Amino acid sequence: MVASVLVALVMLGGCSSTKDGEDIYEDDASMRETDMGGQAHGSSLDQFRRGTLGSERGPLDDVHFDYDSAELSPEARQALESNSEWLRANPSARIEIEGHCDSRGTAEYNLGLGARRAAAVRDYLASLGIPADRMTTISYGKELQLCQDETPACWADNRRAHFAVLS
Amino acid sequence: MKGSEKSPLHAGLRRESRAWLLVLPMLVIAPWPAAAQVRGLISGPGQTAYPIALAALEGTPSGAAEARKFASTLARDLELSGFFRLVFANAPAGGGDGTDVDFARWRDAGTRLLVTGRFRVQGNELLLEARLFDVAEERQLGGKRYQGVSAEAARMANRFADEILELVTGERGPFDTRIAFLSTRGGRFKDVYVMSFDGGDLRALTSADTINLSPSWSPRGESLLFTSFREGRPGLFEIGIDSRAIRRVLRGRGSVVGGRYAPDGDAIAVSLEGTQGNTEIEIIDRSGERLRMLTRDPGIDVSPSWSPDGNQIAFCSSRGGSPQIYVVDLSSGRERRITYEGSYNTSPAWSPKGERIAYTGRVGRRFQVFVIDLAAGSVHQVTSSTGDNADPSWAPDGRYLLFSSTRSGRSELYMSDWRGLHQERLITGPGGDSSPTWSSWLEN
Repeated sequence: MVASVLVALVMLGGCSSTKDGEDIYEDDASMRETDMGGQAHGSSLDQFRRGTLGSERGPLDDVHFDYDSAELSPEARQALESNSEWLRANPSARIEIEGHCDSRGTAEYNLGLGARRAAAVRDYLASLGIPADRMTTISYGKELQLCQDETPACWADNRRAHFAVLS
Repeated sequence: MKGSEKSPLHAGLRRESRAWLLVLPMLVIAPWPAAAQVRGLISGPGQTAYPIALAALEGTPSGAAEARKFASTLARDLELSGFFRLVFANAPAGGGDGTDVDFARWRDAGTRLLVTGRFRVQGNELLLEARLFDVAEERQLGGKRYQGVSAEAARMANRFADEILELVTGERGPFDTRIAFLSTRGGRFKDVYVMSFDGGDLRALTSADTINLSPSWSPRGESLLFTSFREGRPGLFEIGIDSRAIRRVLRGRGSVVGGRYAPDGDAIAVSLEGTQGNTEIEIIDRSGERLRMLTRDPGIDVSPSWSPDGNQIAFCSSRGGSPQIYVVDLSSGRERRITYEGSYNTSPAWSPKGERIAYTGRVGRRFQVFVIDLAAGSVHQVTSSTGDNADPSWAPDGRYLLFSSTRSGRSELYMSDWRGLHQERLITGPGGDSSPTWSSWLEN
């Protein structure tokens, strides 16, 4: 899926300084159109923009992780097996697997951790026979929290892989 | 030149070259010969606060607002430094031109140091002189004459505060700088903001309605690297501070996380996601060309920080089972782990002089800022407040740290001496502020 979205108007203005004598942004000093390739419409980022994160249910269930871990628990594997049945029944559906983390730790480390969670889920679905070209992964780290409280239950909800179905 | 040679302040002092003056938007004229450090001063931030008084600045009523801005900014800088205790005294003005300082009355008021000054506003131009006196020894330690536009009154104060720290401690202060950070004050997403150290000129650089992370200064402070989801998956971008023009540095098939410029500005260290969701530290050039893969292990490797000589990079890795700080030597490729206390240590920040690394570590259920001395291996806990303290960034002078803290109930920016003395909130506002990063000293 490719959605071309106009993201930024970079204004040309008289405010720029000429003192430095070097302008490394020449290429971008114009209106820009940016390819949003791969970002699912039903993504958590879109839901966050709309203020509906966590309230829109898709056909596939989230799977959850232990703290600072990308290992799939028996419960997570079970959820993925049922998700794989839906994927087999809907062979034209492609999914983006999102890795999410709880609020603890740094943004950068959690982006790395979310990437591993998404990859672990993709690899397990592939092992269940889902073709790899139907799946992409993305990490949102700790940036899109379902639940804002600093409680163990909330942290557990946030440590998840979410599935955005690409239409 | 504005007749500076005729100024009595300038008499007998070295003349500045005309060419130099033409380059500077805000002129600093006629530095006095640097005096030795104040004798008998044994202090550090938060230890012995040295009494200092600010005399009322002499000048015309038309520049009163600028004079107030200068004085309030200077007072705040001096307090934040931790080296000084402001003495408020109903003592006379005077000494604005360097003569007729009533030292006896200032001594009686209980101060050791005294700042005097005078100013003149002509149209939009502000001419301001400031001097530092040692009241006990009745001598002038130094002085500066600034020429600029009225809006630069705060910057003149920041520069004079830097000068005072240099005169008193032997090392330039950290105030003529900028701070970049993330904030949700403008909306639901974290945007990249920048402000002068004094909190002036606060502005949002991004407003892309998407996730932005990890602002990091270019060595000369004209731009910031940042991680953004603005093109879908996280990529590395650079934004000009003045132009606000954004260019993509690198976009990959996987995540691109947290780029940091090498000290010489020629290369960038960044964390790139490869297959299996595994992130490694790589070196790329300014155009995003991948030059060298620095780490090759199955752990999460993120948050590179260059040593000031550019020969080593500290980073966070989970290779040993938990996130810890490692250092890789760029010539030998040899890696060593440097943190052993605690089970979660991240976001290393190498000090400007190279002898220390600040980082975020977990203690119990909270995150705190730590500093490790690389030669001794000793670990010092900088913060111990309730709430999470994270993402330390060094001042260019290596004496102060900037970090985020949730001690007030929401995330805000604090600075302190690197040992944790004198922790002060820098700015408040709606939303939350995080990921602060301290620029190098501003160029003119």
